[in-house]
Amino acid sequence: MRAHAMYRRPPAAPRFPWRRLAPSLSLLLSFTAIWLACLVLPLPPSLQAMELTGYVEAEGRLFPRQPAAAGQAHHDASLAIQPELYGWLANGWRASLVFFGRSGGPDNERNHWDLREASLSKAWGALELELGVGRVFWGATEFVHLVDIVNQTDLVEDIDGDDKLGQPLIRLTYGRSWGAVDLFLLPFFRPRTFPGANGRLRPTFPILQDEPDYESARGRDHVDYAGRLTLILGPTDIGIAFFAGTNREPLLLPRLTGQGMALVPYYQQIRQISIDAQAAVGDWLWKFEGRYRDAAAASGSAAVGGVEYTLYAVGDTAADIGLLAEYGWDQRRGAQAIAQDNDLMLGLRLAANDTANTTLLLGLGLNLAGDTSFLRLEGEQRLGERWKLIVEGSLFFTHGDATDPLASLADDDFFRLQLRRYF
Amino acid sequence: MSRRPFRRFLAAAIFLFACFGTAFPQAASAATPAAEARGLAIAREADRRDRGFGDYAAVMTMILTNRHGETSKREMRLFVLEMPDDGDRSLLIFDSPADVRGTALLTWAHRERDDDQWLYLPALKRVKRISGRNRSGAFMGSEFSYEDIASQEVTKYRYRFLGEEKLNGRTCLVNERRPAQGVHSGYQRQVVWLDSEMYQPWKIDYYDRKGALLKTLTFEGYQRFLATYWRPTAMHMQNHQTGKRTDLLFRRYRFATGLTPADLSRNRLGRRP
Repeated sequence: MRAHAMYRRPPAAPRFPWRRLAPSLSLLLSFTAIWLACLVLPLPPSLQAMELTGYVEAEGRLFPRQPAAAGQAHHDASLAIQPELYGWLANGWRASLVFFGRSGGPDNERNHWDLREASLSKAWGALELELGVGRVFWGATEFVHLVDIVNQTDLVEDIDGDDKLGQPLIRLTYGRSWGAVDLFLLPFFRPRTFPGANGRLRPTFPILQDEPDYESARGRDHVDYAGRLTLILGPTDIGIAFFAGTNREPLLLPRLTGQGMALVPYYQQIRQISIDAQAAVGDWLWKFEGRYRDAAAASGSAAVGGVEYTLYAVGDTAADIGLLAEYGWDQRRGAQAIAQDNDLMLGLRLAANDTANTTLLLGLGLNLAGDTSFLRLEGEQRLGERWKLIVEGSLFFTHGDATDPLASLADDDFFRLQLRRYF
Repeated sequence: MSRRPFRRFLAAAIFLFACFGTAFPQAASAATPAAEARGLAIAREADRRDRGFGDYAAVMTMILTNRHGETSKREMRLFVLEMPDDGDRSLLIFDSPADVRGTALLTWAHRERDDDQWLYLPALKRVKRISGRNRSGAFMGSEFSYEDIASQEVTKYRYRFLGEEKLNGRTCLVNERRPAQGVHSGYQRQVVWLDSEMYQPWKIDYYDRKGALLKTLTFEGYQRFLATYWRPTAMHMQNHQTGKRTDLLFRRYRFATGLTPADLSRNRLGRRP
């Protein structure tokens, strides 16, 4: 990824040693808050129902190309587990606890665990309160997520940005038939995960993710807030949102270390307004996401829009075929160039509608402004009642001397196989 | 790109199984006006008799059987809320297979336009709009299409009364229904055997767009709730062209559960009631 040092470097945030000693402090605090809440509420005796579900997964990844850096492997294998515990309490509270952990791979940054969810929620009529660690998704489009900002991306899991870290939050929702209003208080910041020095799918220079810099003197204790208005207008859903706080997407600033050049994540303070919309009209789905960000460095706007056309029950079979096209445009100025800055993305989706729920998605991304493109295939199929096979392949292409961030992944074409057993 | 992008299979309309009684469709190209009027009257009467149920919930088991006799099972929960001036709202939550557990399909049926539908994908916490027009697609890989389990609004068909016939010892009104102008359907026509006392169906024959008999649905074990509303305990769909069948079993019907519109709203998807 391209990183610039063109802007004025902010004064270093004051550092408290204990913060380094306890990188998961926010999680511990959230846990404490939840259990305190549990003490206040008559929780254990009133537990009405509880269910434990989740999966264990074996994953193998293959990188056919020669790695760019020494120490990076051609293939890896790891195990992952995601237990999920849901409980309903007699006093109307709902509790959820979702843990994720991966282990056994060569990259110690990817061998990680996270509390995806640990929250209590309760509804009073149209009003609902959630507190704890939660996950929230905003957005409509398939290939790019521009407006989704509440949760941090768990980038070591996959480069598609769909895996998220649990976010400590207090959320208040008021919902009606016309839509809903959500207010969020986000008391702790989760830094993004990046592959380690010996991991694949990282920029040319290693990322010093354990030594991030923050624009705010409060660092990861900066309290962020956000709000969202969701409107249901006939066949159209519209979301209008704002966010003020620490950007989930860091700038990566070069720094010379004893081991050579490295990149330091720098998290800015931003204010963002966004709109996202999806509409189902006949066999067409229309999707749009747009945002404007205000920051000390790299302000700017970005948008992505597209359509998905579905052919149902093709040729007397049960299978559906979806055709997708999205165009993304990004005019962030200066420091924060990203992979999608003027991109056309085309997709073909196949849903067999069979008992194994076989699905396939083929995506092609063309950077019209730069010299890169990618091809991605995702497929999944259930095996029996409790097993599932997920395959994925990504190929990256660069032409000439490509300067956009995707170019640094040129040697990291990969294939991935995941076998899951649900319990 | 989404990691679990598909789940299209879940894509579309829902239920009001109950309301099969509701609309007895029909109409015919060369029908006599009297037969059409009688057919429409029967459909309206069935619809009228099922009004006022308020809300109900049920647990459903779906058993898919292929032509070799191999079976697979799905479990889901159904919540239905009657809306005063519109089609019903319904929520279907999948409990199994395990990989789709928590997936939810919310439908707001409408009388005058395509239904609104949302699919909730728990792994991504994502709510996707779904085309309310996908009526002919297979529901969960079963022999039921979305159309078969969708709210059967009277206005979505043209009707023609074909006559009375005894079926399993019950007197049935045989009514034909064809899709109304502008309504998408996977069928050329359906023939419904409606109990002349209960105004609930015992059998439906589905004819494909070429006019060939495609499927037969039979109903079993009607129970009466709140002294008024009949609901089946089993529905059996046999596909004559592929030899496959799907059995849909209902249990734990509960009426007057206190469901509110807020429970069946977009922002509550994922908060399993």
